Amino acid sequence: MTPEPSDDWVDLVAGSRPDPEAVRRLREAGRLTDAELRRLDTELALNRLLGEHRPPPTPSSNFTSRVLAEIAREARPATPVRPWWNRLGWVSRAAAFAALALVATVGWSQMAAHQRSQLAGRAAELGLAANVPGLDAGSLADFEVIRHIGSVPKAEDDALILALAQ
Amino acid sequence: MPIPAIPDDDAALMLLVREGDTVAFTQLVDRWKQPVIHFVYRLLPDADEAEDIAQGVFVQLWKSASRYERQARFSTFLFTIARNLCLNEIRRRSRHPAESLEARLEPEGDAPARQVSDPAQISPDDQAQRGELVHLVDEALAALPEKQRIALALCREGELSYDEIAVILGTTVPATKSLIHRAREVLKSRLKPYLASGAWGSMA
Repeated sequence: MTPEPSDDWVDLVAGSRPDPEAVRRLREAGRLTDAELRRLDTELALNRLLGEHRPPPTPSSNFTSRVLAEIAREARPATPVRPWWNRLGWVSRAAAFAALALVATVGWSQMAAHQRSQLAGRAAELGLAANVPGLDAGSLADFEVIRHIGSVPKAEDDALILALAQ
Repeated sequence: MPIPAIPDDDAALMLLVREGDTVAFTQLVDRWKQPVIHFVYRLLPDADEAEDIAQGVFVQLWKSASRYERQARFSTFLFTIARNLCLNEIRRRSRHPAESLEARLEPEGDAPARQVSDPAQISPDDQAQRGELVHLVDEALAALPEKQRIALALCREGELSYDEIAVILGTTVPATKSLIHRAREVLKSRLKPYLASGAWGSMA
């Protein structure tokens, strides 16, 4: 059965921290029946049990400073992500630039030297090719005759053989 | 539990906080940290986690200071934030039971570490008896519906009036009283033997 909080004294006892003096007066006034007095005792016992069964923790000594630190942390604007080179000083940046320029210059000069040596090699090969003995015109004429042997009709060959035999 | 004595003063401080006054904010944190930690602890009974969530409550208080209006009582404004964060945590746990809050709220970077005081020395026998009773009460509290549990915690730890609790829960005063009375009836019936004997008294 759901109890109805109709009585002021029940509200008083069930509320937060009933005033002991008010409770004493309530008990002494003779306003409560025996049953109500028993209920009053039970309500007060419940208050004690709820208050004492698990003593609440004491706040840590730095509680307030932790709250303030958390607020300060949340208030800090989010740090934008900067390129890594922005984190270097100007001297470091200049040194890094000089190192990069040196590497680029050395690389470029090495590549140019390599290209020059390749060109020299090719020129030498051309010089060697120029010294190979060439072909005279007669050889080229015989070459043409030999090349056309396969294309001469066979009957003409036979007639030529007969004429030579006579 | 020390209760902040001058509610109007809290409202005045909160108006300063709205303007970005960190000194006023520090005063409010110092005044209210204990009730907030106790309230959170009643809903999430782990001392470290209660403190972490209470820290989140005050961070949220700072962030939402611009929404504070003088007509509103400071305590209802503060405990509404606390209630919402606790509900979020309870629901998050029900979705991800294995996930540790510690991992989620690990202090970052230069955040100062928590300083924990030494617990009081208790004899092993008393500790065992006390552990059993604590377990029973925790079970009885955990079995309550969420709204009843929050109403009860606000009433006992926030030390708020029924009117204030009604504002925080977004309900009426009679409905708030009904929630608290029903919760107490369930607890009385479940813990009857201990209430009759007062067995916890020697262990407290």
